[in-house]
Amino acid sequence: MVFTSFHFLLFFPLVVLFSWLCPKRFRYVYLLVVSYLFYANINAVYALLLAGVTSVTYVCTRMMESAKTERLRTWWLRADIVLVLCPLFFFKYYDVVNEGIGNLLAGCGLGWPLPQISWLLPVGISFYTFMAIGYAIDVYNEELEAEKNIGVLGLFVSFFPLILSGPIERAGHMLPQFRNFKPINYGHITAGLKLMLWGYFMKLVVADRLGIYVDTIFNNAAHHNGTSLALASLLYPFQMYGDLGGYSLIAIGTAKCLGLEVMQNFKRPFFATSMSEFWRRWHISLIKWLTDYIYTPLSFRYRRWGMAGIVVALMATFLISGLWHGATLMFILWGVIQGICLSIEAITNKRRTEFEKKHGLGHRWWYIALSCIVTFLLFAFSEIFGRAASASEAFEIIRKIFTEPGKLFVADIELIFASGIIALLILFFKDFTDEYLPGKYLLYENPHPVIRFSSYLLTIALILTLGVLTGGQFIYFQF
Amino acid sequence: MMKRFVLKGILFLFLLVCMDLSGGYIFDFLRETALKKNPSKMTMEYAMESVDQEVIVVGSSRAQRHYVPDILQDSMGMTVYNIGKGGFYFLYQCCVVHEILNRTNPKIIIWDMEPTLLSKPRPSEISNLSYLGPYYDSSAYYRAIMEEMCPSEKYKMQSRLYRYNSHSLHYFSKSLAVKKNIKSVSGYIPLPVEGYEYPSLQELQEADSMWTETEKRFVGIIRQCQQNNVRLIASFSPKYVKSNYRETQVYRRLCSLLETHRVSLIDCYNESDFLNDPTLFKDRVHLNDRGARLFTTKWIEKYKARQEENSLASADRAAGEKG
Repeated sequence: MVFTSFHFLLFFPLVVLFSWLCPKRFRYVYLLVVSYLFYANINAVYALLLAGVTSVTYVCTRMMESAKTERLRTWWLRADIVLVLCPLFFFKYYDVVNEGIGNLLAGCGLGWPLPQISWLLPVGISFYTFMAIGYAIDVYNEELEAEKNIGVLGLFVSFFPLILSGPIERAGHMLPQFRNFKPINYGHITAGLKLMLWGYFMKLVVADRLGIYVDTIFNNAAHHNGTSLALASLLYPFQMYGDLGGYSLIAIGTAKCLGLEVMQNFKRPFFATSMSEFWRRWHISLIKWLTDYIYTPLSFRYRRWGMAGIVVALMATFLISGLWHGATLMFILWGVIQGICLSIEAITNKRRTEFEKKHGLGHRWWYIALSCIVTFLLFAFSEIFGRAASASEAFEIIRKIFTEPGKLFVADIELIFASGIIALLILFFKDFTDEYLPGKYLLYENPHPVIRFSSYLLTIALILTLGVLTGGQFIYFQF
Repeated sequence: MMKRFVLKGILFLFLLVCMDLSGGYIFDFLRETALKKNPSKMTMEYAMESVDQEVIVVGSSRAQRHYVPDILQDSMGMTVYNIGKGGFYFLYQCCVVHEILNRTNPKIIIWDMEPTLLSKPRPSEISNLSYLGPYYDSSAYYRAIMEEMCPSEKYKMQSRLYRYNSHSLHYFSKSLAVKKNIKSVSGYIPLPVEGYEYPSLQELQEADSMWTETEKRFVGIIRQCQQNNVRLIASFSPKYVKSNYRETQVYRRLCSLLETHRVSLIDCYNESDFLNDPTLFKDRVHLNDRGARLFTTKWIEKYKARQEENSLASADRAAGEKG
């Protein structure tokens, strides 16, 4: 069951209703059962894996807490990380590593006995694995006490709005809410429904409409000219934003309807004026996780190296981020590009800030617009490696963009294309007003009920008429 | 809290229903206007509501781009319309043919199909059925297929706006008569003959999984044609692949069905004239305009030869009966 399926529209109100009726002290049990049913509905066997990850995390963190020596605590942390990462490595990286070793040994004339196992990646495994590891590290760092109730911990790892594609929540934020549920009130439900409505618009109307064009071009990249490929490359970031941003809003809204607060995952990323700011606005939960558990420890460890230490930490963090997305050369290249951009920014930061101050550029609208455009173009360029079928295809696409201009492909799908562009303009208007004119042009939050209700109805009408309502998947399910 | 929520919820639902109904009426109006103003650009709507020619070509994009109505019309001496539609396959075609037969009686239906027609439909075929949403109330046949193939559609189709999902801009633009640059002549849309790389010949292993539902629906349509005295001709137009289709069970079953129900089959699927000349193709599955014109001419020759055979056979039968 995914958020865009018809079944979810029946499932969700029932979950909220029974959650409201359920006594507060049993609500975690109720939500745990609901979360497992939700996940088992996708594949029952993978629910066992989820239970395994939860049990290992529970045992290791409890043992970590009761360990008498620092060495033992560290041992339990390592054991937890290795055991929790095992399923992720097995499902996501086994084939790649196995093939690599096989090819290497074959080159030396040796055989390799392990077969390839093309199993489907359990959906959400990368997300709940990171949540479980983050919790264990927090316990190790004594930022959190180990959860004594396995049901509460189980709910944290499996909470149904977050399990498939995040946001990658932190135990410190969620566990207190699961231990002591707030009463569900009118404000929670309406605020949650508004977020969900906008999330559905972003996913079904923006992402999926643009996706038809982007997929048409990228899936037949060899047959398209540079102009069409350039446009598809520019639209792909918006598709991703609509897809994961929409999913995140639906997840946050669903949790809110249940009286739970979940962290924001996107904050109008295309109004970022630098790559470092972009990554504070895009997939915030993943970047925060990587910052806290990879970047900060690494930059601390290499602090004596000065700027070189920061560059090493940035490169390593984004390489891991790339590998988290997939064990392919393309994602490694994607990570390298991000790492290089951020490193250049870090190195030039002082001089850039001085230059901006000296010429008073920081508040000039054209400079802000130019910075936003440059940042967007850099991100769109790096995403060619995230979207192309292979690294060689990505390079071919880039070559065509710069050397093979031609007539823009819109034949047969011009109305689909137009629908996507209309949806994109609506999204841009909303993000623009939220960014630069906060409090003005309010729609869902307008104090006047006629405008508020009209906005809801118009959004629903747009979803019904322009949305792609065929129950498509979310891009991040593959990660 | 609950009272406030329920009251606002009821008000919201009421407004939602009003919006949905009024939106549905607006789109009904736009559809009718667009069909009147621009019938040649409204393939699906024209097929469902207006087509009344004597010969109708049915199929997917391969039909739309392979059968040239002018050539058929000149040779057969009957009016011809090509209602082929890209991306819309057997189930959609059944709905359209059923509605045509309910409304009018063409003399001949040329149904362009794949040799593997009886295999399981692809998911996109089922999802594309929702394009016929505006006819959910008026076509019981379509309604039955939708409810069988996607049970949840029964509930979704209660929304009048949902029935127009993905059509809205199409109807807006066509009702405002915005220029469309497709060169459509009686439904036929030619593909360019140059300016691209011609395809290379490849071998194709056809899917060979029988799906009884397709057979059931196809036989139903054949019977409906027979009841209405409409001659149905099954046709395989050329593909630029070396296919093993003759070895498949689905093909054999299709042939036996056609024979049992006395439906003629004109097979040009792997005809050597086309397999030897890639310049007749736009890609592996579509002929370009030159290929389409050559194919339609060949098709007519085969059709006439078949006519002669049939008339000879009936003359023989009549002579036998007399004797």
